[in-house]
Amino acid sequence: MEKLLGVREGTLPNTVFCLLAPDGKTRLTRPTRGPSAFRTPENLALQMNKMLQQYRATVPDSFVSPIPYVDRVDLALNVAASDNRPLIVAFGSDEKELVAINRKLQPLVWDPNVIGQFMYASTTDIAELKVLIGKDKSPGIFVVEPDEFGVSGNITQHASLNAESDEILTAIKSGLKAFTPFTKDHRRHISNGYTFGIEWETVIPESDPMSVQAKQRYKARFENR
Amino acid sequence: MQNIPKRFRLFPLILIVNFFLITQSAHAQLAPPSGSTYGGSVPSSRKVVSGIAWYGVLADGLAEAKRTGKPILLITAAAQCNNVPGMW
Repeated sequence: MEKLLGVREGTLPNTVFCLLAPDGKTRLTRPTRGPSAFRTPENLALQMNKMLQQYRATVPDSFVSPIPYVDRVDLALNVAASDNRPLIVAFGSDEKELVAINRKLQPLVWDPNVIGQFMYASTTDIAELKVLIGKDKSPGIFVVEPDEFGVSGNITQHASLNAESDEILTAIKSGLKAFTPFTKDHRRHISNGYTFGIEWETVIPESDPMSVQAKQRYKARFENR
Repeated sequence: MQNIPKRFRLFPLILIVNFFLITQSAHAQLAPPSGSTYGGSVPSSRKVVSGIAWYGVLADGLAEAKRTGKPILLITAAAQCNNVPGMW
């Protein structure tokens, strides 16, 4: 990622915004912390449309993209909570069942009423479903409402393995209609997280000593209460 | 989120980035929610706001871009702040 964005080793910001060519290597814009360089959403849309003119899609309009899955259910739950969106989990007891589910789900993901409204995760490991709260965890598709911190989620809709596409779409739309986003305050969210002991440990360890010390001092305020 | 060297405070196991493929004319979305809110949806609203279909795995998004010939909007971020999940 550092090489892709042309930054010195160990200096990649934790948020980066960049437009890339389809080869995934050619930068169309300078990497920045966010899209503020474009000043307004309208200007961003205008510039993106201009860039689009240089490229011609190599697939027909009828092409259906794969489902944009996140690697793990708990990961997808966290992202869904951060994005304040519901989550769809596809669960099959084996790969064959999962393929069958994906075949039905894939075109629905890109339905105009569904596109961009959900995060997606899939698994064949029932242990990954332990973060989901619901009675029925039989193979199929779950619509999940994440909690505020993305560490658990309520299953609000379930379409079984044998459900037809229209049943699945109905479940998805029902889950979307019933979904109520959180109103989150940054300071209160962090404070509550520490108070309740909700933490997310990253695999890549923190390397900035000042940041580590600052967090330890902040957390100590809650541990000493 | 704090600015630190090697700021890959992203998801476990692999680096995950969010990005989507520019599939058609990009329409400006509604203004972000105002007030003490956070996230992509409009709180207390029954209206479905147009969303962005992010690819959450870099490799998948790059593969899709190559397959379709579409350019990429790349955003990297960590779905945790001060180690508390549920917020970018």
